Amino acid sequence: MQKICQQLVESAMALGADAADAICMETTSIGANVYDGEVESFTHSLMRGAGVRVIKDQRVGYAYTENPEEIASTAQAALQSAAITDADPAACIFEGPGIESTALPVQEMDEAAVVQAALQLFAALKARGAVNTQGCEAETEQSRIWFANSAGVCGSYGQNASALVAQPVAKKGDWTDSNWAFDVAETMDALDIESTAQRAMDRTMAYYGATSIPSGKMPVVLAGEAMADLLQAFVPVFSADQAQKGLSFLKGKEGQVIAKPDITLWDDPQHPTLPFATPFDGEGMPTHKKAVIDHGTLTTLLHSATTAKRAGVAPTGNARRGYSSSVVIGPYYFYIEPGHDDAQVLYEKAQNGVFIKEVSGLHAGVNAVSGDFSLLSKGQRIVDGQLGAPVEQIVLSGNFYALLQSVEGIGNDLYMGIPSGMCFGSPSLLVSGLSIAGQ
Amino acid sequence: MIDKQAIQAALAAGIANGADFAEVFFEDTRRTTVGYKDGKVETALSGCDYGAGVRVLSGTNCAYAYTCDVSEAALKQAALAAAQTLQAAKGEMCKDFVLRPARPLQPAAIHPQDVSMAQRAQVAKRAYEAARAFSPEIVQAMSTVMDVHQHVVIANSTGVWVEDERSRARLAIQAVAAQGAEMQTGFEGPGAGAGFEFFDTLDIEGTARTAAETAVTMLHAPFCPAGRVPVVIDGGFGGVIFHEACGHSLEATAVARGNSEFAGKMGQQIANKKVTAIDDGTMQGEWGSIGYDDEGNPSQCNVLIRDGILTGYMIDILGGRRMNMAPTGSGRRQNYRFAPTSRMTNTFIADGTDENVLGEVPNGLYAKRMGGGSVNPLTGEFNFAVTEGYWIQNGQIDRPVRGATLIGKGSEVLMRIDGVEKGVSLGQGMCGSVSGSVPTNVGQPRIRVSEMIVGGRED
Repeated sequence: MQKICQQLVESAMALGADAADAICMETTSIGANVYDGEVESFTHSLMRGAGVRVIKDQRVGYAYTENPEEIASTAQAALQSAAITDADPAACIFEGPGIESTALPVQEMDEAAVVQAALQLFAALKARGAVNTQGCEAETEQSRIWFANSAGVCGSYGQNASALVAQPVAKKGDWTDSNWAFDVAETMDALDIESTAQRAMDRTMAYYGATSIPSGKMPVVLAGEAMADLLQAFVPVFSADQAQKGLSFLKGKEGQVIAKPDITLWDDPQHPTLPFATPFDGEGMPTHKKAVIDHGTLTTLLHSATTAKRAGVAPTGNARRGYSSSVVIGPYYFYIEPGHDDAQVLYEKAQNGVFIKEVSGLHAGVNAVSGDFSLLSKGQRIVDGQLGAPVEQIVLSGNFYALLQSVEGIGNDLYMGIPSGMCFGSPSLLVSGLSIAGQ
Repeated sequence: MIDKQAIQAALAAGIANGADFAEVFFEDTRRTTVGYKDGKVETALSGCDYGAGVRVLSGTNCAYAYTCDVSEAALKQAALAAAQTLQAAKGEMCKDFVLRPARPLQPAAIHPQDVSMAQRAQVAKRAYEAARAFSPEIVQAMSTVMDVHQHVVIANSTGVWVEDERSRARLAIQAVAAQGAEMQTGFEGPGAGAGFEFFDTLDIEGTARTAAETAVTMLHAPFCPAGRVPVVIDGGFGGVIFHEACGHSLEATAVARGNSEFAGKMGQQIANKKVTAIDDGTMQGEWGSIGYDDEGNPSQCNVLIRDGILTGYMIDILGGRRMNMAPTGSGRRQNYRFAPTSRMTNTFIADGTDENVLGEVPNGLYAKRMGGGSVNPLTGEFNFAVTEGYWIQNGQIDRPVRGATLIGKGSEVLMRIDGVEKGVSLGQGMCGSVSGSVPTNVGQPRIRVSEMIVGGRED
């Protein structure tokens, strides 16, 4: 596959490109889903593809293929695409230095272990009272990424990961509900089946007897999970590309205060709790940890080689790219640094309000351009500083930029989301100025 | 291309090693995207998705293997890997395949491969310029021209052989209006099951102006109030309310496992008697149509609800086995990397007989344009976003209000649809579920829901 990367780059240069870079990826995976005690669905997959980006006369074009016989025509297609894009004086590839290839550990894909884990997860859910499941999965995946460009940068790395996803259904009389929990690790045997099942059932039972609450503006404690979901939905505001096109309010705000002074937001491509690291980005540039917000001040936006050149700054290694997509700017593990307050301290500071544990509908109820969000939510009341009855059928509304400046307390916990391309995390936060719509 | 011999060998291997049904889904798909932003053609991407998925069933259990290597050896290997996990008795393989007749519901008069990148760029540029020209407050616009041509071969061990060509084209335009520290957006995304000729008949500039008008109107609008009020929802993409509140909950994907609030309710009243709802995959040239579904079954017009009574579900082959009901031509998948499951096609609430449902609202919300949404079919809890709204006072539109999310429970909302006008229109979207993202239409005439929670906020 490293050869295919080289071939794509060489074909492109031979056809007249000024610069080119190529990514190849190969992923094998095994997954099993258990329903009613049986493996009702089993998937075995091999995915392989190659994509090339070419620059000619400052015009950029992309093409990809999953058909290994089409390498030459793919380079040709990329040049045809480039011919119709408009010139961008900042268009460039990464000139180096790159990073030496890391070893590609090959793991035995053990089908029996995957099936076993899924069956055990089901048994664990059943033992804890689940009456049905919307999903009960175990999966393991192995990816290899190869890169090459016309400036001589080349490298490869591997990413292995295994995961459990438990989605139990609980029932009590007429009431029924479902929820989910996950676990991710580098290997199958490092996954914790019992704790995943426990968390899934606890979350499912948490809303028994839940009701809506009256509308109003009130103090809100956002669980780490809810804030991590918001970070994910609003990640485009940190993209230098969005800012340069006038689509982010963070444009020109590097060096300015954009959040409360105890907010620090990290992007860490090699964080120890991630199941795998990402040594270089989609342009071959080595990645590094950075504080995007440092004690309330925006230190940098996220850049690709092109946006960095346009802005006259150093690139930040945030050019994300699969073989079938163009470069999109994004973080690796994007998380807010935990603070010092116990959860109870946050509830006491809030006094009367709501603890928002989960938000949904993020693909629709969020506008990354305006910063506004309006999301179906669930949680618990906070009454006189104590957690109270469960709440559902409410909408949490607000604005992301205003939220960063309205954080009144930061918990000492840290929730890490499911790492899927990008990963998001946050501690619990006490936030003022948000609205609840309910009964 | 894929070899008939290779498919036959794979199916036979699956059956012989422990499956009562085997299926191969092969795909060769060409897609092109041209994006125009900031006054220039910014992205041009073309690609080929190429591979096959082998599925074997034993009773209600399924094993699936997919690969981008479609040689006979690789397909047989995939079939074996899948069949061996089922550990079942061997089944019966067909003697021969019967080619099903062509059903070209999404033909291309102008085939995408005969269209130059420059022609695509021209369409994107026209949309961009029309949006920018609408008002000086439009500070940015993004237009994307997409076309896909999918060639599939679907064959199974009962002798079904289907070759289907699907063409789709779509223009997406997002306009951004700004003033001071405020920015708002508007979006339109018309598409069809057609080739490049779609862009010849589409009113490109009109579409772009509509997106720009939404952005400018919302820029000057106050926030939407919060509370429980009547909601009037316009036709077209307003149909997303039915898609989320009911559609997913009628797919065998949820129903077959008892994970839907409408499971076991056939013949019962689940909606207001003014509601008749249909999922029709046979509509010529529509974005959500399919000639054959992705299991090789011909698409159907399925009446889901008639005058409020539940009359049908959307059922795939595996769901049909669990529910002991015939499949309804509803088995769909994003591509060869997904096993199929029951999905929607063109889903809409049919014409009613009411007039001026808005005129009867003393205080409520008029949702003129909608974004997407989501649902948990088990509980029916759903949400969807209003992207352009107006407040109704005494039966009249009083003022525009900024977007908010509407929430509710499907079974409750369906009973509360108390006004259905005439004049169904359809809106295009992408629907996500366990078998990936598939193109679907939503639709309805203008309707009224007597009460919903509107997730607005105070200024």
